[in-house]
Amino acid sequence: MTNSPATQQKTMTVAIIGNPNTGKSTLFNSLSGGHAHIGNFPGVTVEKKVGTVRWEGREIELVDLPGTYSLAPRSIDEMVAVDVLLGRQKGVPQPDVIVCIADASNLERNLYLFSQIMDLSIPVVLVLNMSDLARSRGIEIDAEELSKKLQVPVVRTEAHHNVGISTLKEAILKIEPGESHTAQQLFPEAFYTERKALQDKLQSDDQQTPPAFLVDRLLLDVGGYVESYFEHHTQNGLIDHLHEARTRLKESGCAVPAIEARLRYAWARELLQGVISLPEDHQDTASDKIDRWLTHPVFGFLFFFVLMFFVFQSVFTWAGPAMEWVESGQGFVEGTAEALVAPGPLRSLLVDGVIAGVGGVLIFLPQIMILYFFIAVMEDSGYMARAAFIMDRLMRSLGLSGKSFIPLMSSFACAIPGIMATRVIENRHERLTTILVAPLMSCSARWPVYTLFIAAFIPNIAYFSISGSPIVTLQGLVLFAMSSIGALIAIPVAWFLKRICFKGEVAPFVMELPGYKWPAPRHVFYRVYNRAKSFVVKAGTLIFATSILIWAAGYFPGDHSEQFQIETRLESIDGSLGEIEAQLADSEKLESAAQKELQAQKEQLASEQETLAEKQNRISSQLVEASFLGQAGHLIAPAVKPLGWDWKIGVGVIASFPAREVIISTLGTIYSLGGDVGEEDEGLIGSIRSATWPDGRKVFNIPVAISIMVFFALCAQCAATLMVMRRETNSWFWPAVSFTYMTALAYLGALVSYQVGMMLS
Amino acid sequence: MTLNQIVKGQIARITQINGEDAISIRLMEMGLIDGEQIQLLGKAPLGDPLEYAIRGYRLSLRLNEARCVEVELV
Repeated sequence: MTNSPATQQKTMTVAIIGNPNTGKSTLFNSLSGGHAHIGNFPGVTVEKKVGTVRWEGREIELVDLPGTYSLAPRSIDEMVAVDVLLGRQKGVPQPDVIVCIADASNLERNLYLFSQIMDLSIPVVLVLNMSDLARSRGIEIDAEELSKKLQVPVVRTEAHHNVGISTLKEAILKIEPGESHTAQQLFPEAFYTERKALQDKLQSDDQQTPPAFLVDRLLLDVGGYVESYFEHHTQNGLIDHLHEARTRLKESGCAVPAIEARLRYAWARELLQGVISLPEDHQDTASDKIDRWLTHPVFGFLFFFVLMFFVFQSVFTWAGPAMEWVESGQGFVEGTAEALVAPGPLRSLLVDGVIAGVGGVLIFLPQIMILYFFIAVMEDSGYMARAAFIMDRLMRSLGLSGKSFIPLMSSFACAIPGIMATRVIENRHERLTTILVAPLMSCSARWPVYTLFIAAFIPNIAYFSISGSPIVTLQGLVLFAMSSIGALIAIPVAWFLKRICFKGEVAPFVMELPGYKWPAPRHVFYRVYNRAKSFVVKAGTLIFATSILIWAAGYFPGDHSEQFQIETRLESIDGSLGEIEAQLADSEKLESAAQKELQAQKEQLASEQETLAEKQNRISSQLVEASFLGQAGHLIAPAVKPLGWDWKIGVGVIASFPAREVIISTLGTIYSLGGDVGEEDEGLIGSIRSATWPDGRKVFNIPVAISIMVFFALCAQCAATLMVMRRETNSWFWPAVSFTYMTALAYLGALVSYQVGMMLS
Repeated sequence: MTLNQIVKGQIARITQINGEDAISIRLMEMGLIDGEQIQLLGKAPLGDPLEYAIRGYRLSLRLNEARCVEVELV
């Protein structure tokens, strides 16, 4: 190996590419040591994963490209990999080395992509991953012979067990920067003649020579991305020329697109002659035997639903305690801040803005991590493809595919991990449709809202009881209806998006069912960790900013000095009361007269505390009314009147746009109860039951309660979801679409429920 | 006959892939080339999609995708 100072300084870019399910991400994690920077390629929904490492003093930038079966791009998303490899992607230098990872147990098909990579004239290392699995299936590969035939380094690895990684590093480091190899001539002469003619034509139009690989793609991919790109960017009859060229090729017996697959597969088969020895054909593997059960008409369904129930239940129940830790941690930090900072604007900003904002981000972490744990295990074990296989027929009736099921089901717990889980969907339109309908699923943050209004207004009538205990109640039915309304609305929305907005050819579902294997714990850990990290860093900062904004809108422009005085006094009363309690506890040492005096003091302080607390709540609610938030509430009052709402509900709804569960504490503040109320708080239920319009009519009745619940069921009141949507789609457009259509739906739904409800009652 | 018509366990030889659209191109990229043998291993619980064995790996195809593939029994 030569390590001249010049080569040591230059960063070497290594692109990793391979078919899906070849263990590519595991290999990337092993090579990068788990340190990856995850982002998006500009303008597309494709994830950009880059890791920088130092091997033998040399800086290496590893770029993980999305798993693909071929380098024939059909969409702008698929074009990213080609652009990176050709050095045309901004922000990524042209790779010095391509590492092509292939599944050793399925080498022939994996060589299809490899043969396309060979056309790029960039040095390449072929990795035969999962060699252990191949061997266990009785597949023997002579890697040395393969390397000799290909004139390319071939490395055997078991990325799951970290085997062969150092050999691969050595093979990569042996390649000199700037080295290249000559592309093979796979196609007949006629093809290269047409390519040259096309290249000349493009050059005369554009004064630039497009890379030969792109001209190949233009010629070969009928209806592909490159063709449609040139169709929109060139004139001068290029497309006519292209059609003529294809006709000439067909006449000379090499019709595109069929010729490419036929030649490359023939090449792969010939290459493997004498290199690979396969077991007898049509033999049942261990994986096939598992599949017979897991895709069985009865047992397969049963297993799938039991598993889904378990996952769903775990996200709910396991996340519960962890979310409580987050909350109690938040409470502890709040207490500390209150002890250190005197009541005033700074404390309000810290406690109600900053700490509440950070807590609002961290509260989602447990659900994200648990769901991602299950997704990583399902993907890594090979079950994810079976889940899509089983659910495909059902999901297709919604215009989606089996791959959308798990993201949508997860969204019933929380739309954030659900939207993050759409990464398993390769098709852009299908992924966008799934992302756009995911927030309609009834997430767990809607439950407090339902619980409050159902407890307050829906009569507790039992329709069906078993030995005295009610099984079906009106309250339960309303809760069920509220939880399903979003999913029901999602059906026409998905249909509309797929048929009207994302019209075009049906995406192929053609999907490999990879062999089952044990998931690698290390790999599962990295995936959960990276997801959690990217959520906190990317979405977190924006959620945080939104929380501060809403805090400011509720704080300004009122004069809070009286409120702070009362708060200071209340805290000193709290302190004195504590001291008296402590003295009373030691009462044996005190004389009875002293005891009586203490009791009297205590009572006096307690009554002062009560008066002050009431005053405090009254001032708080006045301040909220006078704040920008309250002004906005009055401003929208005419707009929400047809929904049966007064301005107080309006304020609650506006304040809960960043996070829907905020409605409870906002209503608590507005109804002068202080912000610390829960959804089953008797005081809050009592207050909203007795709230009246200025003319003395009751504000709330059943239609109003239903109208509020329907609004919350359909509205996109979750800044975190919109931020994650932005991150996943890499654009503000889709969160804006989602926000707009969901708010419109929510308004309409609330309007219809109130108006119809009033007509009926 | 087309690939959706073979029964479970049957092995067929591909004679032609119909069409030049995204589906047929993807099928060819996945190794469904004339002359290649393919076997139906099973169906999803609702009868669609289908699981096939080809070139030593397992492939899932929807009925309408399998219809693009002309086969003859061997």
